[in-house]
Amino acid sequence: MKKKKTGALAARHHQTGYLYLIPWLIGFLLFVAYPLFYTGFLSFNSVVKNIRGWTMTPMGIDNYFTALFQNTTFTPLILDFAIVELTYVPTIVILSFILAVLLNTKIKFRTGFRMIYFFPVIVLSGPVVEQLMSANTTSVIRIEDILIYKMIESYSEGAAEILLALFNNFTIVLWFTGIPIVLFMNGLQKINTQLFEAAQIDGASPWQILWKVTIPIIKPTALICTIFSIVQIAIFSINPIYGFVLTTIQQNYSNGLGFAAAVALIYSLVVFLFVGIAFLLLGDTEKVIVRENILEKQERKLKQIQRRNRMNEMSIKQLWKALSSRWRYWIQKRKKKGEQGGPFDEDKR
Amino acid sequence: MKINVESFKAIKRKWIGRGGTSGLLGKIIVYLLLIGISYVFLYPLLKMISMSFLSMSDLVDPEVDWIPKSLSFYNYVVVERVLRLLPPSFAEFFKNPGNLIKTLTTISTFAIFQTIVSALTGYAFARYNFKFKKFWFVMVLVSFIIPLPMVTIPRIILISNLQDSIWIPFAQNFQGTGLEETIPRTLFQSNIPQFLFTFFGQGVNSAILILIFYNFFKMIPISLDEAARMDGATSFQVFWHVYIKLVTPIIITVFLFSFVWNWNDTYTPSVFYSTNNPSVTMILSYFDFQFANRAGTIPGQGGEARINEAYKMAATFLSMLPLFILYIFAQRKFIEGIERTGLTGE
Repeated sequence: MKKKKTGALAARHHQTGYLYLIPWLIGFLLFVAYPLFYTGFLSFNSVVKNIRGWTMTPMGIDNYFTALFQNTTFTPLILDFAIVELTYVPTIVILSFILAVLLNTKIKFRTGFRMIYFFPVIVLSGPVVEQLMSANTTSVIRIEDILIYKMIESYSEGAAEILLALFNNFTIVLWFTGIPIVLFMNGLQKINTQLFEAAQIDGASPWQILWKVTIPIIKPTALICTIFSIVQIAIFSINPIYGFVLTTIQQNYSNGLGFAAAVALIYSLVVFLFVGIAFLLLGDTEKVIVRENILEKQERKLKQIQRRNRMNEMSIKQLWKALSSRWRYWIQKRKKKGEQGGPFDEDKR
Repeated sequence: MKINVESFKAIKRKWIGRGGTSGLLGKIIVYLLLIGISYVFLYPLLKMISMSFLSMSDLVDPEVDWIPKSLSFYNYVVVERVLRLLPPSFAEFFKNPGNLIKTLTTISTFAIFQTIVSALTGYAFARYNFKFKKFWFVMVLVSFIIPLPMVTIPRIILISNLQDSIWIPFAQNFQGTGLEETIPRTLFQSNIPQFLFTFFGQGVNSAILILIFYNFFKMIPISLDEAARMDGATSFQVFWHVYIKLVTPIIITVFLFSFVWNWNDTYTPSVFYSTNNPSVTMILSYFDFQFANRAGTIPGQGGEARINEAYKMAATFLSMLPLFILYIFAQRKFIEGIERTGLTGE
C-alpha cells in the first residue's frame, strides 16, 4: 500500500492516536518489555531482598548450571514438557481441523454441535482440570487393554508411555480444540467455492480436493492455531514444568529469584523453540504470500486451475500452438532480461 | 430374478450420492463421528455431575456407575462450607457477602477495565496512522506469545518496590480507621497488582481482546468519522458518539470473554495473591488442603467429612456453575467473538 502524502494537520491528527494507546503503552513497557530484558539480567545474578531492598550480586552462569545439572527435577521436567508439546499440539491441530471439516458439511444441529465443542473454552482452568483428573474422569478409553497398545509397548516402552499419557488425558487434549475449531471453520467458510467447482470439473475426488485445495489454503490458519495451542499449553497447569516454575517463584520470594529467572528463561526458550518450529513447518517460505491476502491467493489458484481446464478442452493442435507461442514469448523475454526460470514461472509468481 | 438397474441406481444415489457427505451413508458417518466426539467432550462434565451426588457408600459400591442410589444434596452442603460461597448469615451480608459475591465483583471490575483498555487500544490501531504503528502492533502479538513466567519475576520486584516506597506509607494513614479490609497493608495480599496489569492492558489474553476490537473498528466506514469531524466533533467525541455506540454488541462479547478468562486464570493470582484469596477458582486449587479445616460434619449422618472424589466434583461443579449459566445465555456471542478476531487471514 502506498502512503498518502499528508499535510501537517493530518499528521497531527494521526499522532493523537497515541493518546488512546497510552494505557497499553505504559503497561507494555513497564510489565512486558522491561521485564523481558530484566529477567535475562537477573538470571546471571543472585537476587536477595533485605532491609535495604533488592540487591543483586553477579554470579555468572551459576544459576543456569544449577538448573540444568544440579537440580534433579528440572531437566527431566523440561524434557517431559517438550514431549507434552510435541504430542498434544499436533493432536489438537489435526483433530480441530477434522472437526471443523465435519462441522462445515451440511448437517442439522450444527449450532448445537458447535456449542458443545466450544463449551470447554469457558470452563477450562487449571484447578478444574486438576480436580477432574484427580477424580479420574478424563480418560474415556482404557488404552492399556487394547491390543495395539500392547504391541507398541513390547516394541518400545518410551513410545508406549507417551501414548498412555496422551490417551489418559485425551479429553483434556480435546478441550483445547475449542478455539482452533472456530478459527478453522471460519477459515474454511472463507474459501471461494469456485475453487471447489473448478477442481471438481478437473475430476478431482473429494479426497484430492481436501489435500490439494483446502489444506494449502488453510495453512496460515493452521499456523495460528498451532501457535495458539503451544502458548496455551505452555501456561497451563497440566504441563509438568508449569508447577515447577510456579513453586520456584513462590518459594524463593526473598532470595533466589535469580535462579527462578534462569528457570523461567530456559522454559521460555523451549516455548519459543516450538513457536519457531511451527513457523518453519507451516509458515509460507514465499514471502509474497505474506503480503497478498487470502482472496488474491485464491484468485491466483483459480486462474491456474482454469488454465489447466482450458488446456484439457483444447485439441492437441491448439494446445501445441498455445504452448509454442508461450515458449517463444518466454525465450524472447529471457533474451531481453537474462532471467532464469521456466516458461510458466511468471504464473506462479 | 432380474435386477432392476434403475432402482439399483436410485438406491446408490440415495446412499452414496456424489461422494462426500451428499449421500445418506456419508451423513450417517458424519453424525456418528460428531456425536461420538461430543460424548468424549462432555464425558468429564457428565461424570462430574453424576459423581457429585454420590454418597460415600455409593462411591465404593461397584454396582453404582452413573446414577446414585438415593439423591441427596449433602455433598453440596459440605462443599459450600469449604468454599464459603454464601454469607454466613443474612444479617452479616454487608460485612461479609460471601466468596461468590466477592469473586463476582472483583472479576467484573477486572473485566470492565480490561474491556475499556482493549477498546481504546484497538481504536488507536484501527483508526490512526501514528508513527511506529506497525511496530507496536507486532508488539501486541509478541506480548501474547511470551510465556508469563518470563516476565513474572521483574513484575514481582516492581510491585515490591512500589509497595515499599508508595503503598505502605499510604496505607498507614488508614490504620485504625476500620478500612483495613479495603486497603490492605501489603500489595501481595490484595488484588491490586492484578488490577494494575489489567488496567494497563496486560491482563489475561488482552492481545486477543484488542484484536477483536481492532477488526471491528476497522469494519466501520471511515466516512462516518469524517462526517462527525466536519460537524466539529473532537477526537474523543467521535470515539464516544460514533464508534462506541456502534460496537455495543462487541463490547458485550469482549466483556464476557474477559470475565471468563479472568475467572479461570490462576497464574497471576497464585503469584501475587496466594493466601486468603476469596476467588472461587483459587479456593478450588487449594481445595484439598482446606477441606479438613472447614468441612465439619456430614449433615444427616454423624462423623467428620473426609475428602473424597464426590466432594471434589461437587466443588468443581459449583466453581464452574456461574460460567455454565453465562454460556447457556450467551453462547452465540462467545463463538462470534472468536470469529471476529480476524485471526483467519484478513
